[in-house]
Amino acid sequence: MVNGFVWTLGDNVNSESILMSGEEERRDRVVQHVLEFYDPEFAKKVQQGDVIVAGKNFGASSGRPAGEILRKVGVGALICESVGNVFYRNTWNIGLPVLKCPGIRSQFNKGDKIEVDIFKGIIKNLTSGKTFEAEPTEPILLEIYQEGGLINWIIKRKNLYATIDPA
Amino acid sequence: MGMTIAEKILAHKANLPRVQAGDFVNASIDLIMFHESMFLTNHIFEEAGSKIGVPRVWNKDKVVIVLDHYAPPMGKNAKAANQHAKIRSIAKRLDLPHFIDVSTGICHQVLPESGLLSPGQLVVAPDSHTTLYGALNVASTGIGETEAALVLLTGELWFMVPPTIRIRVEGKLPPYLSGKDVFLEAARQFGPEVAQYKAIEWYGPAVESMSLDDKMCISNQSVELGAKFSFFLGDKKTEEFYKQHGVKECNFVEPDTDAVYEQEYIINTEAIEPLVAVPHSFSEVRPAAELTGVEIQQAVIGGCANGRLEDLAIASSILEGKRVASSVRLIVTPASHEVYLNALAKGYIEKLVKAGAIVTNSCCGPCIGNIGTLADGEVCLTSTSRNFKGRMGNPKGIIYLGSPATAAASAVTGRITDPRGYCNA
Repeated sequence: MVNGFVWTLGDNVNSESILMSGEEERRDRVVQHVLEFYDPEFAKKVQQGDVIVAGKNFGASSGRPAGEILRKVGVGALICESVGNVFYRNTWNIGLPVLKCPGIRSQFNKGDKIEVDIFKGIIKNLTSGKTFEAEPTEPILLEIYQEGGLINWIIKRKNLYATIDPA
Repeated sequence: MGMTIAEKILAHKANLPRVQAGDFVNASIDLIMFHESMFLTNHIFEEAGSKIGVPRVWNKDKVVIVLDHYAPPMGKNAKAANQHAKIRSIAKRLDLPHFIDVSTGICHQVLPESGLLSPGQLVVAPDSHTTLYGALNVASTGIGETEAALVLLTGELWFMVPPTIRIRVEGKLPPYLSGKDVFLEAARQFGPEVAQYKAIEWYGPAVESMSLDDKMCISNQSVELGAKFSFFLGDKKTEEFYKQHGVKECNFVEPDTDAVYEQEYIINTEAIEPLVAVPHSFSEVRPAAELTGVEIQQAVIGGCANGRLEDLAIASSILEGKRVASSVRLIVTPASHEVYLNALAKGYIEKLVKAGAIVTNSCCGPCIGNIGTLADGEVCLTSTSRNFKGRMGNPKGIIYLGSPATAAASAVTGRITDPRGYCNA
């Protein structure tokens, strides 16, 4: 179960601008600037378990590992109306769930209290009292999430792991 | 019930007689390509407990590495230089036969030229513009560096078989329109999510008459429509390209006549004009003619989207005998050194340089701001692949995106310009 406060974003938030990959000198300090284009408060105030509720085409186009940074700063889940397919897989793989729920954006305000059951796809706005159901998630992604991300999933598969560590 | 191209290829690679959209399959990968992303994938193995990084690969012949992003490292970028050194040592340790160092070109042109692709393959890479090889009748798509690690170990990857949409392109491309405008029209008319998690099959009279360069641009850019795969059928031009690059057998994959498509769309080239995507996404696309008030300080022609011979041809024909405006820097980046040499032989490079263009070596440079970083508030009209905020090295830079012809005409006037006044019929 993910519990926290909501941060809201609009449509077409692409993964390159989440990371602000623009400036070379800022790359190493990316955690301090994540999502700055959209909400300058985010990097400073985000807490463990917070959830981002976004509009359409979240993580558009790119395969940049934006999800990794969001997870690093404590985001517990991403909920959006629709999502770019490369970003979708990458982000689940890094251990950060992405739930798809058309119409969800208008049901949340920044700062609302939220509770999300990732496996059942049940989203609760504890501030407004309303409950929503996300589109079902592919079983393989839930399996990967349960193991804590794709790297752990690889490590736990003995036949692969046995060859990772040379004697 | 018949199968689409995506269904046929995924069924084949999953060793199944048939699949349909929505099925989950475990498919064997024909080729995986890395650029500097190999450094990240190697680091992922270290995080997973392998002290030596990538411990082994499932099949040496199916791994390709092309160094193209910092080719060569510029701006005192020792970090990039060290990454390159590390990747060279990885390729040597793993004894990889297909390691392609800097000075060859951008990965998405170099791989087609290498002769390692063939119709009907399933190819992945940790780079979103991998959809490009769909122009060569290959099922190709971008994945993350973590999944790339999994592919290196097992040679397999899970896929959800995507539904397919068809886009029919009517008419014929006049000289002032190109593949880029077809893609921009698709974004304009149908929105940047029209192909979200779907495959596209392109067809129609304009497709049959357009060049392979145009198709490569369209397939490349299709990821900006959300596409998982972006297919063209094989034809004589495709066959010619394959043969020129050492691939003798072309068994093109066609959809069954009774394949099921989710939706059909139509683009009429006779009804479109040169288009431009306005900053900072593909959700707003407008005719270049409506943007003539926008002054630019930089124009870019090149990259994996539009750095091919035809792109350089149209640019040099527009710039011949003219000068780039004094307020503009025009950067030209051929997609590979093979393209560069062909353009030299045809006199395009000379014309471009004489007009004042900055012709760079072939690398993933200006597209991501490695070459030609923008100053605060500067405006660029680019024919590379993205106009996202910060893409060209400065979050305060402003990027519009259009075809090479639009970029060339705009470089001459110093503001966004419809190229129709500049192209000969």
